[in-house]
Amino acid sequence: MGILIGIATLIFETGIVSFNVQLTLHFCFVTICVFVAGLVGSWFELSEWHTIWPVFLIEVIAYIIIWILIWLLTKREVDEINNLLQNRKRG
Amino acid sequence: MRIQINIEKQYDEIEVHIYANEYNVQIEQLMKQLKKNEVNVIDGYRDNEIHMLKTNEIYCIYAEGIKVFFQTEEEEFESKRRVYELEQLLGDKFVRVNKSTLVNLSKITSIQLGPLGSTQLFLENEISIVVSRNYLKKLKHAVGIGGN
Repeated sequence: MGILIGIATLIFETGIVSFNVQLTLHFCFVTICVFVAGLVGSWFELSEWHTIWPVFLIEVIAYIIIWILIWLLTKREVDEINNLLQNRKRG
Repeated sequence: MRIQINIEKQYDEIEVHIYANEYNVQIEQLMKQLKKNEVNVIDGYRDNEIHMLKTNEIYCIYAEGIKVFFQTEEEEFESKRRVYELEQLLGDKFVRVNKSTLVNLSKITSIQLGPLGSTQLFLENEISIVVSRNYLKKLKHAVGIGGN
């Protein structure tokens, strides 16, 4: 499963669609992998919903955290660039 | 004067180093000559007519499908070259911000982070261009150097 997810992560390297779309696609792919692995490895029972939703909740939270981190990093780069632009105009 | 040339893949753009034991008029003239060779004018096309465009009047260069366009303040011209060729030709004045667009560094006014996390670059003629994350660092580097 790790290999499959690794391959899915390559989508971020291609410049094809926007970052948010890439992240969503990645999320769908990983969700499917997690679901299949969970079935095979008996992480949860299909009939028992209360065993299934915690797994996916954790997955969603992880993605939200990652999105926020990337947003913060991007904001920092954007602010730095704007500073450089301001300095260039003043100088 | 000895001339030595090194052709190696690692050099993205032409670098010229001058070695001498003192700074003199000959060196000054050499530098003037070299500076003249920077690309300041480039050919653009419209209605089958060729126009010589000054590079400092070009705001951005973008590809739409197979065609590549120069955007000046109010007009558009077509280019016969590909984006990556133009990137190499105009390397120090233009920077790549996404797969199909080059931007003139001196025409950038500001950059903003949109609500969904998309980064928008604003140019002096009010055009905005989306910057893809992969090229953001390069942009910062280029603006930093350009500013000095």
